[in-house]
Amino acid sequence: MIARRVMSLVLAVALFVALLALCGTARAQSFSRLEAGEQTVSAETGLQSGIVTSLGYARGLRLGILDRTLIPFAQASLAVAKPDLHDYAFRVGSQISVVSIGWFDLSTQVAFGVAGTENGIYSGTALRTELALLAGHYGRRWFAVAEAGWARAWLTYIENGDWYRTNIYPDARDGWYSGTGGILHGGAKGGVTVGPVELVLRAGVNKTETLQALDLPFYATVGANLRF
Amino acid sequence: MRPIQTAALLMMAAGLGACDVHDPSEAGNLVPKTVDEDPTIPSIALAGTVFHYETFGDPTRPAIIFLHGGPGRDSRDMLLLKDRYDGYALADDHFVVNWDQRGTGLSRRHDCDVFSLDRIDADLDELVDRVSPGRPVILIGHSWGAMYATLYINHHPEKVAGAVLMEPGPLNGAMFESIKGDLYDMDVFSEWLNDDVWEGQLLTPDDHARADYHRLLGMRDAQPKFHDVNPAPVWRLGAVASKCVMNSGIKDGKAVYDFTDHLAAYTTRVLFIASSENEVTGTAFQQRQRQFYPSADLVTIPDSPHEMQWSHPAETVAAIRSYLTEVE
Repeated sequence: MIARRVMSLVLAVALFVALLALCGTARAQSFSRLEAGEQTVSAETGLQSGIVTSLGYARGLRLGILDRTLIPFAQASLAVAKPDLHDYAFRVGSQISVVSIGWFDLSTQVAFGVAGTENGIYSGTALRTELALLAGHYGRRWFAVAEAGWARAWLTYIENGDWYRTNIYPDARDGWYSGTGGILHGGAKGGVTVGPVELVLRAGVNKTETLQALDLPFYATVGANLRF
Repeated sequence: MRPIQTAALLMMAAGLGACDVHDPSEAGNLVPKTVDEDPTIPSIALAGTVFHYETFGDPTRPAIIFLHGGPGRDSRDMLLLKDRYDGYALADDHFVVNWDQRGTGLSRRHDCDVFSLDRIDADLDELVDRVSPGRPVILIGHSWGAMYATLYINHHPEKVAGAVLMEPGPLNGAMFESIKGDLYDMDVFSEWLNDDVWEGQLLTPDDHARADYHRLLGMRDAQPKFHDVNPAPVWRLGAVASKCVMNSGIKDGKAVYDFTDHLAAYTTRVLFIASSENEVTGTAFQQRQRQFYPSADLVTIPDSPHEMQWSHPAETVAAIRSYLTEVE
């Protein structure tokens, strides 16, 4: 059983690495938009599937062939209400402007990630993707965009806990599960720049991908990005 | 695509293919099968659905119907009440019926719009008619099950020969409003609440199996004032039943149900059993609730939490036996 789980985890890592390779230089997040050569480190906290704190990094890379700036990013998040290293998420991805007409900009974000949890019933590790569209205006000193997105756990390793097996369901199956969850979100993000620091607010609503209610049906975070 | 990337993808696909990947929506994986997926589960079809249903004792004897808690829990934690204590079992002189209510436990699942207080009243009415035609039954309910018993007595007093109400939840909206702030630990920094919402990163309640599995997260720690340190087991929670039965008694965020408005017509004596440790719906609360019945006794089980039928079954059966001796 242990060998099988190790094998499964190796496969998961292989999948993860392969996906990263496929997306080239993919690598941060509640930033607004970066010009080529700019970098930022970001900190974000608030309610987003619990009380969460995240740290991230992003940089602007010029893509001459598309005449666009690609913004790869990486972000690590922890559920911090009760400090617990088992409730975490890590994602890498990239943002790029798709349409830019006058003051209006439409950008898309694609990210791949892993999320984990350990609770009173089971422990789990999910391989996830996130897609988001951001539409609005990026100015020199401020930005405001509407955002909509879809996050999905495509493959999740679930190991049922002893309490659950002993008291509820002894035959619960451990292993990889496909398509365990998906969340749609819609909201707004905006910020102002003061010197090298950008302050960002995000807020919106969540539903599952089949439009079922979630126990925390909204998100609201505040973030700060240091540009250099 | 570069050859190495293609090779990595193919190897991964082959590896995942060899791996057993389960469907989280399929009953039997994360949660047990219901009567619909496993025909060997004892069941009864009535009221347009199929219930997980077991009986104990001689069907010609007066019927006792157990009513489990919730809404959305199941009948597993009532099972100890049918066991023998001090040489006596309820099935010695009764026909005992234990069942999972609509959409809970191992009973058939339904969508939310099927659930209403009228519907569940009709479910129990059909069950009473089936197991004890023309003869009133004894109802023994715990927590929500004792509320359910009161709902039924309120509508069908002539069909109930007696009732044991083990720590019922609020019997009307006013009682609910008086304790609603104490029912759940809603501290935003509590571990159970954050585990509950964080889980959305991995698993979301998009079908019955996943919703029932997710619902378990609150089972151990969400109600600390009830002092069920190691909660009684369930077969399988009914997440949709839980949410939708509760919502059927709530309007614009306020509890509007009333299971007590015709209880004055029910003059048979009922027994309330309370636990000594429950800080919310324990003895003091039940002292207030017994006033809704024209005739009601109250017994407290010493050192017991809310789920006294699981933690203190012998003492609970002794109290029930004493009551039945007097009322029958």
